[in-house]
Amino acid sequence: MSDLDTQYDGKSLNRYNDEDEKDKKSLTFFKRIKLNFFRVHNYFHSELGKSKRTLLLLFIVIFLFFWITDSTIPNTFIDQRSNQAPNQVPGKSAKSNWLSRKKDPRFVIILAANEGGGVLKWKSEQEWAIEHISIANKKAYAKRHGYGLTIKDLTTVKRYSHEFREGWQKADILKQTMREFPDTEWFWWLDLDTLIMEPEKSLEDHIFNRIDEITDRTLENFNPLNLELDQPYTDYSEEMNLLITQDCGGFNLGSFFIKNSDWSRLFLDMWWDPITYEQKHMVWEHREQDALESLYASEAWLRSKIGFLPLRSINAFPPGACSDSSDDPRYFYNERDHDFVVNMAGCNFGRDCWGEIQYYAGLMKKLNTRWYTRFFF
Amino acid sequence: MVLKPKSKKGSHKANESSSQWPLGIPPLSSTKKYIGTKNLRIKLSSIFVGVCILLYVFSKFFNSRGSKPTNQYPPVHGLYMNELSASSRLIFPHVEHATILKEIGIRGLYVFRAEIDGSKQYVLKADDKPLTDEEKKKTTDQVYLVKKSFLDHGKLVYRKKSDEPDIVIVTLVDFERYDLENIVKVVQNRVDYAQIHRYGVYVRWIQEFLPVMSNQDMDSNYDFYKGLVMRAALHAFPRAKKFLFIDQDALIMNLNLSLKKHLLDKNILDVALLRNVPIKPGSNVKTYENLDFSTVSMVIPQDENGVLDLTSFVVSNDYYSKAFLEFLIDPIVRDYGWQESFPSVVAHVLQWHPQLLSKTAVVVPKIMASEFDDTRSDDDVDAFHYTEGDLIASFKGCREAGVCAKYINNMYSKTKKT
Repeated sequence: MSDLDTQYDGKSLNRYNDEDEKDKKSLTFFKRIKLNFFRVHNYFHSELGKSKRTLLLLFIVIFLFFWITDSTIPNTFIDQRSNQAPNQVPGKSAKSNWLSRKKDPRFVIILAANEGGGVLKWKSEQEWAIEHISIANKKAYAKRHGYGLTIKDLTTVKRYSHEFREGWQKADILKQTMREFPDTEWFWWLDLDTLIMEPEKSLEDHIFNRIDEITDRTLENFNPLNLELDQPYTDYSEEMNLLITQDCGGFNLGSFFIKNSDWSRLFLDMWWDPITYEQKHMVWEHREQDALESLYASEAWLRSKIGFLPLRSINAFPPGACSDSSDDPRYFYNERDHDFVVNMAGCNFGRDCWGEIQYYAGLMKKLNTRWYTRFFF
Repeated sequence: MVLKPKSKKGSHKANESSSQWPLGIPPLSSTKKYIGTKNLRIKLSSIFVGVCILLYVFSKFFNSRGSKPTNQYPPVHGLYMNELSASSRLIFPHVEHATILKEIGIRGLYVFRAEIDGSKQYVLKADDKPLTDEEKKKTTDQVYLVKKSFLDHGKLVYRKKSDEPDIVIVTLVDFERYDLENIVKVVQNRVDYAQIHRYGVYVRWIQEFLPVMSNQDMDSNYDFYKGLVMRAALHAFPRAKKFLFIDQDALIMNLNLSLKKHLLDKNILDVALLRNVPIKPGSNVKTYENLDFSTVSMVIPQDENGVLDLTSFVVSNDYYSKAFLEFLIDPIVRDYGWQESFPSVVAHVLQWHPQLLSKTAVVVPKIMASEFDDTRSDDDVDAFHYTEGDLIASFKGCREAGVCAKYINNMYSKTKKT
């Protein structure tokens, strides 16, 4: 038997198959497995051996394809927090190494970092850590689906420091980003205190392929501000260009979508007007959010193109936010429902931002771990 | 090796069959058997594929039943929920009612309601139902009929697919401040012009918009009503392209001049365009040097003092014009307590919103609102004042001087007709 063990090769196998029945009878189970392995091995060699060259070629082509496409994705990450050269358009220079006619990604995430930072107080260690986690989360998401990501600095700047101009920074950043990514279809504004909890969901599947089913055009079903429901001249058959959410206190702009269109540019231009701010800056606590609510309340050209997503679809709250209506399931993140994004809105007002982001980052990891990943760690 | 099976052949067969399909792939030695079972495999796989397709079809079927029907949203409507389809592209009120309407007065036309904050206001009943033809026949109360015809006039919209006008002439008329004779001439003037060029006409009583305003002292915000009527006109003619507002203190003098060949012609606009001029006196914001005429949405003249002249202006049926008009009539803008005149408010909007300014052609008044001055001789031609052959003569400021009736009577007889 030991002889047989060492002699196994293709030749002996064939001979064995045909003639050597005597020995075969006495084979143990282990031996039989071994034998079968060689049969399979032979089968592949005889059948596929002829097309070796084609297979190699195919493999090389596939490998090159993925390599090239993969290496072009990270170029849509543009971190502009320390961009000191405003004349240079970073989107243009960073792109275009493989194909010069490469288009902008269909979706670009605008992450607002450093809000009010660096001027009124030093940034704490925890704030740095929060920023790090949040950015890594969006980077991974954008890379996974081939979206663009641009990180914008919201540092307090003197030009916005006048009380009439406080809320205007957001519109300026959006306008600037639209110039940077002229071919992009949708921009997704995200505040820093957000985490994408389900990175597997693509924006296409989660929102844009079923946009009519998940959006609400009127306030009939949910109207926390008690705005006038009916507005003359509003045409709901128009295509939506701005997708926002409402929380317990009204419009929430912590996470929203705006289309790259002439309408959007006009809207960003009309959003701010000195005389509306002069009248309301004492009342409008949430600045641009309140300004938008006011425009929505009385101007039909705007109302006609705004759609409301459920808060939990892109902007779910942790239990600490909207605490007055803590029993309302419409607002709060639910891990069993796999809500897409959690927004720790207002966590720096008497809540623990660091604790919250740690909790949700841990939860995200747990929810997105598959049983087989255990083998790799 | 000690124990030997009883039958060599039998044991071999058993052995063979047990190792026949290693990893589901037939060994080389059993290709014949494989071919034998091929038919069965094809059958099995075809059944499997068939079941899959059936499942797929059914899942689609169930899904479409299970998903919610697409949301039904309210249709677009104007100030009134109920609307009437106009039979003609010439929409103008029964001007002969002017004297009766004046007798009824605003108080008789609208509900006067006390608001929560103690103020009293006229209110618009948005769900007011139009009078049917039968009801009209039954009613003998003349005053009621006049009142209803006044309220129903705002419900008229042009929805016919045939005979659609490209251009609509819009005018506000006022039964409180103007005489019947005057109103008839102004409306007739617009209708005559529209008939020649197959335009639409949209004339409304200015009093129809009073309850929309929060400040209902009409004399203090008389010009803001222009924004309201223009927005209503865009809704009444949703497929018309350009809308020309002409003030009631102005007459179309050269009826043969078509707007397409005149005001809306690229070459004429190019000549008439005011480039790089301050949008209002003393403003740092200037009009653009270059303007894409194909995308111009608004045309507004500016007089010799550098002040915009809203006697006559053009808007288009796009969101730039809608945003412009709706921003002007937004309560937060309209009721701001402006210390300046309406043209200055318009200039404010344009100077703070470059997107709107870039779609606005600021032009010399000569092409659309030549100022009429009877002290000037006909030989004194400039870019601002009326001379024979101009499209529109504007009697701006005639109401304050009390000479509107005289001017309109004089000039109406001079209008050129074919």
